[in-house]
Amino acid sequence: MKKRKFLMILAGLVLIVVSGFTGFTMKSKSAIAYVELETVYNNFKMKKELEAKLTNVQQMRKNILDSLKIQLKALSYSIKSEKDEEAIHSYQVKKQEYLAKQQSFEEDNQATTQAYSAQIWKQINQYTKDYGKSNGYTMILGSDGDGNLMYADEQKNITSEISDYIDKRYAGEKK
Amino acid sequence: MFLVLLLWAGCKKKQEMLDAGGYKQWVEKTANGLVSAKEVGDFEFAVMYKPIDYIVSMETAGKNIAADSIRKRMNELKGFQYYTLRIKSLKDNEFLRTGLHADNEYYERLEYFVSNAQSDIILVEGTDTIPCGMYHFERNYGISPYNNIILSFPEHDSLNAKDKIFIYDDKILGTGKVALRLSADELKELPKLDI
Repeated sequence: MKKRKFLMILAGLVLIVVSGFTGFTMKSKSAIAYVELETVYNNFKMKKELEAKLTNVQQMRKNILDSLKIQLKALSYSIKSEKDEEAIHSYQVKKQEYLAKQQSFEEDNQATTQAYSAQIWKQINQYTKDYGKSNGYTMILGSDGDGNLMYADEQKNITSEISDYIDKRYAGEKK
Repeated sequence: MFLVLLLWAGCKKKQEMLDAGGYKQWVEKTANGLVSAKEVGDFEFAVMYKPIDYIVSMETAGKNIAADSIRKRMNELKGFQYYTLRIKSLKDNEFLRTGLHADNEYYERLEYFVSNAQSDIILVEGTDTIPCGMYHFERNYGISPYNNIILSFPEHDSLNAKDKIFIYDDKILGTGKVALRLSADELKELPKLDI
């Protein structure tokens, strides 16, 4: 009798463990969510910081170009005639300097924008991966409106959670 | 009142005393909170806060040194807080070579870490921003996937009273700013070295 009771308890325990494990695996297998990439990107603190930094640099460069432009204009006024070779030469030298600087600034602005964007995505990807791993997701999809994700239940949208998590991790919080 | 004091004294955590070997292990154990690490892309950044007792325990391990000399050394180290930043490649056997696009980039990275990275490292404690006071990049010529950078920052009035945010604003590896937080709670009541 005692043995039978023991076996029944054991069977009950096994059943609980098996159903618990099955439930857990089924839950993890169905753990798919999505994020709105544009929102995550635009809300990310790092993006805002780098954008502000870039805007400052671009403004400073614009000021340099504006100064050169004023000097260029002043030199153009100093040319009295076509025979004023010295003034023409000074103007041409300044114009070359202006054009070279303008091109260099444009190229540099573009390269910096690309580098910043790559850094931002590197961190977003890393923290999203960490979030997915720590929270048992098997997949986190990125929706950016290009047709990769045509429909998903709003309940699966974890954009806000991811944005908060990414900002915390960027600020140095541990996993 | 007496009972309350007795209870308080009973509940108060006694400061742990550790020998040199034990101290080393305690500090390096991630769970004790003196190490904060983060992966970004192909790199792992880990910062370790090194209490003065830890530095002394490393210097004196296996040596028979008089207690007075140890105390003297501890006093010499006061006034600064010490850290090791470890940058590790998750892909290659040398982090300076990870994700290179051209050969000269290796030398650019080397120059940056040997000479220029110090100005990109700060420590934030509450509202204070502390620049890096001492910097030394330990070269190992590719024998391990990581390199250590030995750092120190001037000590502020209330050491370990506030969370410490270690910031490395990368300019060469393409990761951007990397912040690592060390919680003040973890830094309170650190063990002492048994001299």
